[in-house]
Amino acid sequence: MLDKSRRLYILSGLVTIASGFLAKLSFAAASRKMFEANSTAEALKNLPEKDALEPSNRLLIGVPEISADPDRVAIHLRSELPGTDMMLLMTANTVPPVLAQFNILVGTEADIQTQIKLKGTTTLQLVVRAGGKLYTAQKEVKIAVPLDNKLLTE
Amino acid sequence: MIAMTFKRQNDYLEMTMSIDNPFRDDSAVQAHSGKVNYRNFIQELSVTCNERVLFSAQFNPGMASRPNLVFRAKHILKKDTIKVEWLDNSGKTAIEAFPVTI
Repeated sequence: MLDKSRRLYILSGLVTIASGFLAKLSFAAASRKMFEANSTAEALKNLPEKDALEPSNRLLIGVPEISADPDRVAIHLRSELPGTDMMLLMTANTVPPVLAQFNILVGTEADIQTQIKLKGTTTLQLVVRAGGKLYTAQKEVKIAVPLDNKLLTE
Repeated sequence: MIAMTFKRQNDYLEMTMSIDNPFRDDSAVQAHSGKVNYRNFIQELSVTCNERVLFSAQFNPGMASRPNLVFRAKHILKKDTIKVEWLDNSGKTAIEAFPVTI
């Protein structure tokens, strides 16, 4: 009797560990698939939420309007939407379009600063998940050549 | 590989991570040397404090070379330890620990 209950206890523990591990693996695989997409629309198909993106003015993409250094463009992402748990940064005309995905957990502010490289003038798109819904904001960044300030276009 | 500095802001602890990785994509290298798949970038990164996950991120090589990453989190006390775990595209992984000093 004791052996049987011990066996069941060990088995249930193993099943719990295995299911957690599999869930983590499938989430990681889906996320990495998003990073291999060729367009922003294709990347968004890999998100579990299938609702249309809702434009929001409570999202901030802080980037210079014109940048002279395409290899290092400072970017500030901020969401004032309550319950923000994911931020996805994409560019319109690069392949792959997804630059970074940030998962924000409870107790962490949805406010991130970092640096990215851009190949030319482009539109940055921020997609945020808050309360199970997807919101978006966009901003154009122009890349300039420093000497004559000529705008680079691809 | 990663350096971290801290700044206290009201209830929040601001963490600045300097990620010493080239985030190199292969487009320029392919054009010059014909090598394919010459990439070096951090794919995944997660930050924990006392086994509590604060933040995790996934990247592609479109990040700037050696980027800084700044974010803020609550409920972190002096002498807590922040652990950063990362995985790069070649499968190399490491866990680095930083004691909170302020």
